Amino acid sequence: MARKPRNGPASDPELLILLSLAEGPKHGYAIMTDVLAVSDVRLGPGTLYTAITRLVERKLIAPEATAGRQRPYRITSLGSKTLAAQLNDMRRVASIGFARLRTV
Amino acid sequence: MTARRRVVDLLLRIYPREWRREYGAELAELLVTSRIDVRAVVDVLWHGFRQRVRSDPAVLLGIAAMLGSLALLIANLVSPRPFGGWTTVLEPSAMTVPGVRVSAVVGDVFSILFVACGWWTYRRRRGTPSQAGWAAAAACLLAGVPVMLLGALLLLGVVDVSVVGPGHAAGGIHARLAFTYYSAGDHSVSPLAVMLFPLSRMPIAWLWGSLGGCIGRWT
Repeated sequence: MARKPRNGPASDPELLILLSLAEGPKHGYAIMTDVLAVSDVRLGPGTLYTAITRLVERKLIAPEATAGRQRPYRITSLGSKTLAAQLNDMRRVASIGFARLRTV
Repeated sequence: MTARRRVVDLLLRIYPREWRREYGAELAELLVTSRIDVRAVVDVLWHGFRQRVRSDPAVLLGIAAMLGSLALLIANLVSPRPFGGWTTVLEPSAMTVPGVRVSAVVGDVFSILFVACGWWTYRRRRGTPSQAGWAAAAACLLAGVPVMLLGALLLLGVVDVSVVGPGHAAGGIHARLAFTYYSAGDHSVSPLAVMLFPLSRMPIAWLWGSLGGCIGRWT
């Protein structure tokens, strides 16, 4: 993700949205409440839709056709691969970090 | 339409039209149905501004130019230099209407900026070279805001003018904040002319922007 998140990589809005959509398609409000429940990060409405715009442009998520005003989004296969790669990176860095903390 | 809906629609005006067409209804629905506090309003305004800068090069370049001209004006106010110094911002002119030249918005850098603005706008949004010209004119208006503000301050008497000629440094300490006006002859400066000057540059900016749009079409 291009932007450096303020409270570490685990609070990056784009990562959190991908994580939320990995469970299944959701609309904006559902993403917001899910992100708050999972990570305790309250995404502002502007932050949420800026991140959604970027993810759609990068083809990591896609809007689903709907008749209502709240359009659900689903994660694409490219989005799933990107999320998996990022989580693997985080796991690798985290495991190195924990191993080093044990030696201190 | 409820009052809340009207406020939300007004709030979303900060986002560019193309963005609103794609995501506006969703964000409006989210704002109408969820709790809005000051933090959420600031968040929407900030991200709306970012989207506008991102999608409209004229806003980005206009703000950059505005900061540039503001820095020049402040440099002139706080550090008056001898005639011909780099902070020479206000000069009399027989070639322009109004008869004052504000170099902060007429320099070669600004001409290049307006061409670049037209080129970038055309590459980003397509349309016509004329539309790219209008974008450059808007950037010119943004760039001129500090100059217009200075004109207003001169008009209100908040800022004084200290006229200096060749070989003379601007005076030391003034009773009030003084702007240095560089004149080779015996010229005075009209605050109204300063205030209107950026508007008079808009047609030129439109021409440079249209040229940039044409270059964008050819390249």
